[in-house]
Amino acid sequence: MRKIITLAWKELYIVFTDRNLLVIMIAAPLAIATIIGLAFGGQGGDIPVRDIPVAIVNLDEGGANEQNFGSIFVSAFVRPADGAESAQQALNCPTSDAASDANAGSSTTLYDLTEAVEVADVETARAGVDAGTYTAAIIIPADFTAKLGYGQNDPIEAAAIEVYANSGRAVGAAIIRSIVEGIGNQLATGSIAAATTVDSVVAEYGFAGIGQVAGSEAFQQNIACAFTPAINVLTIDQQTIAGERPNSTAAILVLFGSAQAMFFMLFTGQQGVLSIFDERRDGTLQRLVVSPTPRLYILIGKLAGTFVTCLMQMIALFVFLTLVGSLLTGQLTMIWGNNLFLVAVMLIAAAIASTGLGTLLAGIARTQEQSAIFAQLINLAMALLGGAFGFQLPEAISRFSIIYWGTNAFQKLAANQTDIGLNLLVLFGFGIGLFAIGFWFFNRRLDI
Amino acid sequence: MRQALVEARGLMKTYKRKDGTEVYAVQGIDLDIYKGEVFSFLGPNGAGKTTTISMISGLLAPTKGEATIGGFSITRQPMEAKKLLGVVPQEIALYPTLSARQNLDFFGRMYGLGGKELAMAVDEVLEFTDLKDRAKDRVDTFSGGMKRRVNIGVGLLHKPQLVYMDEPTVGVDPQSRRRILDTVIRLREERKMTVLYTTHLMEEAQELSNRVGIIDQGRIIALGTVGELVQKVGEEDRLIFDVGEQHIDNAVLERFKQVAGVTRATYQSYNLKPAAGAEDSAEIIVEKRSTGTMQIVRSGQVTDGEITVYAKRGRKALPELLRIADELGVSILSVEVREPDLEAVFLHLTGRALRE
Ligand SMILES: Nc1ncnc2c1ncn2[C@@H]1O[C@H](COP(=O)(O)OP(=O)(O)OP(=O)(O)O)[C@@H](O)[C@H]1O
Ligand SMILES: [Mg+2]
Repeated sequence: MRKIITLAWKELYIVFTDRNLLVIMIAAPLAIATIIGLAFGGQGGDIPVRDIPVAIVNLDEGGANEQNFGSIFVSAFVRPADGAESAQQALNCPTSDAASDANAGSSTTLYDLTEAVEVADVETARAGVDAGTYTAAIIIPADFTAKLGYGQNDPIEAAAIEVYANSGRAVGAAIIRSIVEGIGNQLATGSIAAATTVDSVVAEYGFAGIGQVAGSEAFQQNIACAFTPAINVLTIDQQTIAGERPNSTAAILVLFGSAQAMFFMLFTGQQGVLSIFDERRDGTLQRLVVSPTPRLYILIGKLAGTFVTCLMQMIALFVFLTLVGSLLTGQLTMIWGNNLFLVAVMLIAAAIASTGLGTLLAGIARTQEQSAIFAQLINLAMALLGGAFGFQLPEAISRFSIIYWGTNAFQKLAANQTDIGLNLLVLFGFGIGLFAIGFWFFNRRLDI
Repeated sequence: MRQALVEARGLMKTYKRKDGTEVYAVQGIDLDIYKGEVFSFLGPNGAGKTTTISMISGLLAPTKGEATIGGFSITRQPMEAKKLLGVVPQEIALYPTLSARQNLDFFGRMYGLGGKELAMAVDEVLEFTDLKDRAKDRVDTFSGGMKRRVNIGVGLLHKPQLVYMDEPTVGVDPQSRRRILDTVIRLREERKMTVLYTTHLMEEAQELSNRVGIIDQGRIIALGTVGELVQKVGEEDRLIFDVGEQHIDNAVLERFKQVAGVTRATYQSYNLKPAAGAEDSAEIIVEKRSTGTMQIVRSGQVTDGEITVYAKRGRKALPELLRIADELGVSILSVEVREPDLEAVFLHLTGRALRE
């Protein structure tokens, strides 16, 4: 055991005394996340996102009783002509006094949040998105009402309404997607509960935060009503937003900071494990093998050292990002949420996944050059899929990236949600699985 | 009977090439190394020295055969066997970004040292290798010779009974080489260590060793003390005439052979190549292959020829040989008379020179 600790300590020492490596490991991701945070996170009192251009295509053929949920849906985005049934009525959202009061001041509604245009056909809408005219296209299918007619109490199938998003506009697209999901759920369940007003939602998280809270049940139920223009619960007091500015900056830092941290940690994990090739070239591995140290210890020492290096990198980045967040907002802000225990567990899970990936790579690659190429391809793919390059792909694709699972969990934790079980499962499972496979191959690396 | 510290029986190593053919690097080696002796493996490049020693030290698994150190099998009781062995690899094997002391400290721990014992061992090795003042500096700031000394020091840390050094003088300047050779002698004399030394330089083997194993193409072709080995070639001296760039035809050699006592005469010419990196300097130092001596030549001068004459009583034949050379118009730049040595043994056994 003492030898394993010595071996692991040696790994750490070598990494953390290498100034160039530290720049790559810590300064670079920190700088990127901070720059993005500054770019997106509210400067001054401005709401980061407004007037998101959206195309909406209603193909809904309606159902019995001239019911057409599609048009209700449309009316949530596009101001209806006078006399038309408002979405609010259709959804049976309660009219709250607070909401009415809020109307008095300067307010922002879904109509302000989005700049929605009803478009006749899908092709035009998609072309508009592709061309960048719209951030997203919402396509309501022909059987929308028909499907909702049955199984009134089942939650809506996510695929029922398509959101065709421009991948270059991650934040806007994410907001549209969550709004659509929220309204869809409302229509599907017919639920009218509005426990909290969106005032509080927005005030608490800022617009940029909507993406991260959108996952919560309560939010999804509330938001549809909240965004319904007639009720105008969604009143965004400019002052309030300004006061709550820290949170929107924080949310951006959480999103991009965690993605960058995960991305750069992948390199650390691979570098760490792959350094066994360097040791073989330099002869230090041979020296270890001829010392009275079991080969298993040498392997475990290397992997343990790499794991701890990854973990320390993550911790350092999270601490620094907290400082950056606090500096930008002028007050100490726990951007990662209050559940530090779960944050710690997540960091461990992420470091294990990264070390596992490195182990697999070192195990399967024949040469150091080959492994370096594999590593770069994998990392780029993970970053691309996982949103580390500043735009997000559809979730179904993102799920292939461990960066997604990390970022997603950290966002939830930042919003003080704790439902990260699946994320932990995926990361631990991924890490331990790859670790096991890689370890089996990795053994070969000691045959000199 | 002296006590054997290392016993190797039927050691074999076969490498598979990528194309499926096999390289028989070591083809069955039996060997005893006695306590307290310096044993040298002498053999040309690719003879199988490193491979043999890698098997004895537990780095390579033998294809066949078995080795023990202090009675412990290197394959079945590797931890016990490895504790007795200190290794000085052919190439410098250190962590370049760690200091000399940190390297020693780290590897000391890998040999199970710790606490005060470790600190003392490190100090002692730093003293022994004369590196005290630079102990805190990173190894990558060291000169080649200093790195070598650290490299050797790591192998001595845990005061092993057996130290194995694989061609420790390759690529080392003459001064550092002398220092390393002295270190080996000190290890035997002062510390009573057993040293297993490999080299392709017969002078080193001759100077250092109690016994020498001559290894060629994966086999030990001769084994014994230097004296024993030399007796194998009889009492022939070798006379080496340096003839520079002159062309020597067979007639000269034929005349030489007629001199009393002479058994053979051969002519060899070499292309002298300057050491890498020194090509441009006006004066280049080259190593003469046959004698292993350093020679300064002008950069233009790239060929060198030697006539080697084997004779029973070489010194007696010399005046006559010189007279014939003069008569035939061959100018002799220098003459060297060499009594039977390991080089001659190797030549005798294989028909080839030790360095090709
Ligand atoms: N990993 C390997 N794969 C294939 N062949 C190898 C391998 N290692 C060594 N050999 C071959 O085995 C033979 C013996 O090599 P070895 O390194 O033991 O020689 P050596 O006596 O130490 O030579 P040198 O004086 O150059 O160090 C050589 O022919 C070499 O090409
Ligand atoms: Mg060798």
